[in-house]
Amino acid sequence: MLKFRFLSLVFMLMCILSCTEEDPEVILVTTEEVLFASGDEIRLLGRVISNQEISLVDHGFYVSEDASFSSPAIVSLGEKDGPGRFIGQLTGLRVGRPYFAKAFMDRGAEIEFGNVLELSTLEPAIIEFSPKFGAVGEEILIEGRNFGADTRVFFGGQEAQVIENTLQSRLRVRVPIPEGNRTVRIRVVVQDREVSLPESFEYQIGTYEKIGTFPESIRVYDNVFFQDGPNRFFIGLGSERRLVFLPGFQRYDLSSSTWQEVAFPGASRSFAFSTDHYIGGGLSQLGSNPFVYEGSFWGYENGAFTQLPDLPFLSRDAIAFELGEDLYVLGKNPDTTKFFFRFDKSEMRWELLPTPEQEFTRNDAVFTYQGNAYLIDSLDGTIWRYNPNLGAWDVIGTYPGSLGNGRGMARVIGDKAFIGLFERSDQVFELDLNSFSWKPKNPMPGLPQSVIVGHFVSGESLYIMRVPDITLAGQFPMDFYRFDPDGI
Amino acid sequence: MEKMLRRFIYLIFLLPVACIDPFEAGLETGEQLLTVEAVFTSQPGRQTVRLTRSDTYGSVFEGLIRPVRSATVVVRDDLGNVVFLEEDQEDRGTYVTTTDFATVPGRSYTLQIQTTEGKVYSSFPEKVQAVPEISNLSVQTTTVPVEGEINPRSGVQLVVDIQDPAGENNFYFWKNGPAVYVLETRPDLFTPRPSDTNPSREPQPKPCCFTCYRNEQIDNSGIFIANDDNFNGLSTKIVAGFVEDDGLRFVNTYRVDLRQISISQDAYRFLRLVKQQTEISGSVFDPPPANIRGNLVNLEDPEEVVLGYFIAGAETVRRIYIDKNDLTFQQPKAIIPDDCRLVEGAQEDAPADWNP
Repeated sequence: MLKFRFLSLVFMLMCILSCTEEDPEVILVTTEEVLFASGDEIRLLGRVISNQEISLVDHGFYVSEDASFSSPAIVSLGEKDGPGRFIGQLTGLRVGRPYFAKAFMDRGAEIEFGNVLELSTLEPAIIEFSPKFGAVGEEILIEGRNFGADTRVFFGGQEAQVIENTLQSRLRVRVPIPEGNRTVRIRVVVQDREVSLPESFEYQIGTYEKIGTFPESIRVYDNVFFQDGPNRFFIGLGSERRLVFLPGFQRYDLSSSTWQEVAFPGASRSFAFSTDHYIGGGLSQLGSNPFVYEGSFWGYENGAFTQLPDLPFLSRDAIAFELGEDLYVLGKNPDTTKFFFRFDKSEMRWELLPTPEQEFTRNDAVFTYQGNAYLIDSLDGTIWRYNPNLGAWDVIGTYPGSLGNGRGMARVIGDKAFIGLFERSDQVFELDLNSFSWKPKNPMPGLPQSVIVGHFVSGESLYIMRVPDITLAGQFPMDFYRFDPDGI
Repeated sequence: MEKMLRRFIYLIFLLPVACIDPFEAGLETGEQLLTVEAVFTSQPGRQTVRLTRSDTYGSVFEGLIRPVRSATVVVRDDLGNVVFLEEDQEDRGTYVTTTDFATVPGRSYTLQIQTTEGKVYSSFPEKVQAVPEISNLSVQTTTVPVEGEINPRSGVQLVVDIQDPAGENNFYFWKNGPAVYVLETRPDLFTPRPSDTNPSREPQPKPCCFTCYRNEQIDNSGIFIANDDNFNGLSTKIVAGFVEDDGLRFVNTYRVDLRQISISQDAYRFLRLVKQQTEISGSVFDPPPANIRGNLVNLEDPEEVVLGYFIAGAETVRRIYIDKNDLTFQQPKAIIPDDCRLVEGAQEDAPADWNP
């Protein structure tokens, strides 16, 4: 009996020991953190905490503009097995508004909510944009913040194409066609908010209008050109494709928009130098074996050519410019030694000047301004200034564009020089002669592989003719363009 | 016969006992977890984020820690301003801000990372607390006995005096900044290594140079952090750094910039756990090894383990010149028998701001 009692006690003791109290069920959901908030988007972090395996029918977040969650936006992340973190994202919110968010979990029977977090969507802003200058169709970057999905960009009143919106902070935008103003404010519109900067965007401008075509169906090379006043432009001499000399000129009358043939009393030639009042030098025979130099020298005044004393030098590809009444010619002799001559019109006398350290030829471009000459070296773009009173040369800058194969244009209107159109380049730059700052202009239409035939100034416009490079086969008309540097 | 049969049975019982299966102690292949190291502060400068992938623990043959290349890394503040970081092409996996980036006290910052696999990671917002100035910086010599060595290890502890702001919880993190010291060498003892062109083993003294200034960036040998639970609103002295005496540094004058960074409570907790783990010595009182969660999360898979931490804080810097006489114990002077200018990081001229 005692044995039985003892066994019963042991058995009861074992029963008691084997009864383990079950842990109370702990299942809750918390709204942990606002990971991200922008103008129209938020990202929330929540967590299901549980001491056992659970299966949720749904989980996610409620987001509302009012604390009572009367009409919430629900971010449903679907089923979830087991505890752990979850992240929900909501877009399409209104900028600069306070919101309330809470995590939820649906266990089937009822929906349980976590703590409520208060947050605000952010206001958009522009920090900067670059570049501040550009042409139609180019891309600019706008840096800022909180550029939502429906961000629109305007250049003045013209809407631009938003190519890319990176992390709501960097907009890549294509410059639209201008509506008439050279400088415009850039405006970014996000929902009902509009932001802009005081700085304006400046369009690259300059328009080209085709006003005619060279009257003969030929391609002119190695020619000369000059203008008689603001309305008469002369293009001639040189050769037709280096096969036949042109004996004279074609004169374009700007007032009547007509071409007229003008005879030249002197010898035909190519590679001559010319200014508005002088023509000289060059080659009197086509071909280069050997070069046959032309030494005659002609003046042009009051609508007539006058022969002047022969040149004291022989030259091919010399470059010339006028300062005051005097003519200056820079080039190389047949033995390739450099020369620099000044022709004194009053005394009809040539004076040999000290040669500059740099070598200049017709391949370089030249313009004059306020009594000085400026020559653009076509090899490295260096701009040399020549002061005739001091006989001094100095470097004032560098041409920023393509130098192609040389033989470019340089013209002055007011305080601006327009430089470019070197052979096989369609670039034109504006040089401010007060600040010596550069600004690109719109490129010239037509084949970029062209070479200058002539360029002239009248009023506020340039008149330019180019011909496709001699290596290009085919029939190409030589179109004559009016270039308005301020045209939009 | 029966006896023999019994012995035979015992023998048969022994046989299976003698068979031992060798235990394969193979380690599981380590996961290649994204690891983030980033401390952004209010000191303007190029601040860096280092991204790597962890690998199996062991030799380099087991696994190689590789940089995470070509990721898109941005830092965003709570106003929505975004700063894009560029990858350092000479140190792949390191992403740098612009040269003038600085955190602003009061603002919160978030680090966002998009890897080339398309995974997007985000840190939790880290709010920048203002940091009090270091009112004084002093040194005290410390020695650590080394088993089997006559000379103990030694160095100087950097001790900061700070006036903790009252009424707020403050958490501090100190790092050693760039250091410069006077390097003394002995070019007069120069003996070249024999070579085909110069087989001589005779000393070939050089006339120059005996004294240079050597730049170095040494990491703290330890993690120096503190919270103000015990000195809230009070002035206190705390050990904030350590520079080991290697026989060269404290021969003349040593200069170091100490960076004091205010960090968030979560960053402090993270660093405290890392400090605990790195200081495990094998004692029974050591905390158990643990996996320390950082503050970065994969937006598609929040349960993915991401190692490391993005710290954003405010920083103040204090400079100290340590003279050899400030040390109460010095290591024997190390001798470099060559021109001091040939030592890495050394130059003959003193830095422009050298003003001991």
